[in-house]
Amino acid sequence: MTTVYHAKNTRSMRVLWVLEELGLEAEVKSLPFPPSKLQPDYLAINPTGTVPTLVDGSVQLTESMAICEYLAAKHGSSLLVGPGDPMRTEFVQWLWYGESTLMTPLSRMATVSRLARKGADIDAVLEDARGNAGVRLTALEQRLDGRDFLVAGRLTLADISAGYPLHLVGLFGMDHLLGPSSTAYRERLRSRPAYQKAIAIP
Amino acid sequence: MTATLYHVPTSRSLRVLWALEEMGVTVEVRSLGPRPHLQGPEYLAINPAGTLPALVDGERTIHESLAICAYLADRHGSDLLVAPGEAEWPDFQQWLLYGEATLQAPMSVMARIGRLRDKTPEMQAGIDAVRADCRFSLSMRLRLLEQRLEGRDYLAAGRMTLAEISVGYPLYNIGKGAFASLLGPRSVAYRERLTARPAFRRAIAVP
Repeated sequence: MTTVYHAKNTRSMRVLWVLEELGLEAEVKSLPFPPSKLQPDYLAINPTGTVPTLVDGSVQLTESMAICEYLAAKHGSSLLVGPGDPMRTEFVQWLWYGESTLMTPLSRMATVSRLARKGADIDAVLEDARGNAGVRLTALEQRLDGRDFLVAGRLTLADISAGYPLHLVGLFGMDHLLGPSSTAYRERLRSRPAYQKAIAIP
Repeated sequence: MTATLYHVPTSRSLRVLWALEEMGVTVEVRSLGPRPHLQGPEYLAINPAGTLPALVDGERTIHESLAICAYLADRHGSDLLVAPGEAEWPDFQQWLLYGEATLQAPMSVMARIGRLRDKTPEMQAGIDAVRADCRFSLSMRLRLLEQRLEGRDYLAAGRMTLAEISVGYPLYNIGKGAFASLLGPRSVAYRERLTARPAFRRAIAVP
């Protein structure tokens, strides 16, 4: 039995999306956000309070991209670009781009927006993060020139990694930072039936 | 042709220098100094995202500290990498990501708000609120590390791997700052073991 702990608009959407792409069944337990405050019994499963968590027999993982890699490897999926493949290094780089380069300023925005406090001080932090995200998104726009997907000419976990921060860009009202190739790319990801099923899960 | 690493002390390029030292591999280190201009045309031509580090190796340019570490470890046949066939590969991936996504994320918030300019007294109040939130997040997130280190010297596969290098970077910074008291005893001992390694000492000394 595979169980995924999920909260709407968190990194767990990557895991739900991969499950749908692979056509796998899992028990999805939806949590209120943030679970550390609204459902503290979750801390017995994942003491960090972050989502997602995957429990699959004796395997328990809490990092969304590690879970995606685990599921793709277990089921021999082409979402992975494995060691030995000539595209491996680019794949690994773009996998990290979605989580580190794009998520760093977006996490900062999410953290600051959650605080009850408003004012010029908070606006300065948000503006700084928005500026950062803008520069970082130009790298994506360049990469997508002449490409439908980030690496290997097909949907891979690198796209699933980037797909989550691109979802946040929309939620944060920052679509104007996306160039035309990035906008079309996000549309390409969003129009996938697996993405639509995953994003609809409450 | 030697590869070139773009480096700034205190940045994520420390991970790459550390991995290189662990492997006994040298590259040309191009230090950009303590306050680099990463959004000028010269650096954006190397990395259009304007982030550190970057490695230029012949025709290839690689960004993302842990992607560069994985590339170098693979190229030099190092056992810092854990292969998909090894028993603890999922754990290796988990802890590799934990170092960046779970631990470094709140540390990056702290680093960035510390660098905001023209701080007014009102702004300082906002910064204090963000800092308190980061402190709470880190206190929760560090619990998992403390649990994991029970009965273990290393995070995965029973040996020194890139998971240590991933986690070691934020852990080193947590231990020398205002959040050091959030570390449990096993995490303190683990941090001491990592930072006492000759390879780490050499890497941290690179200007």
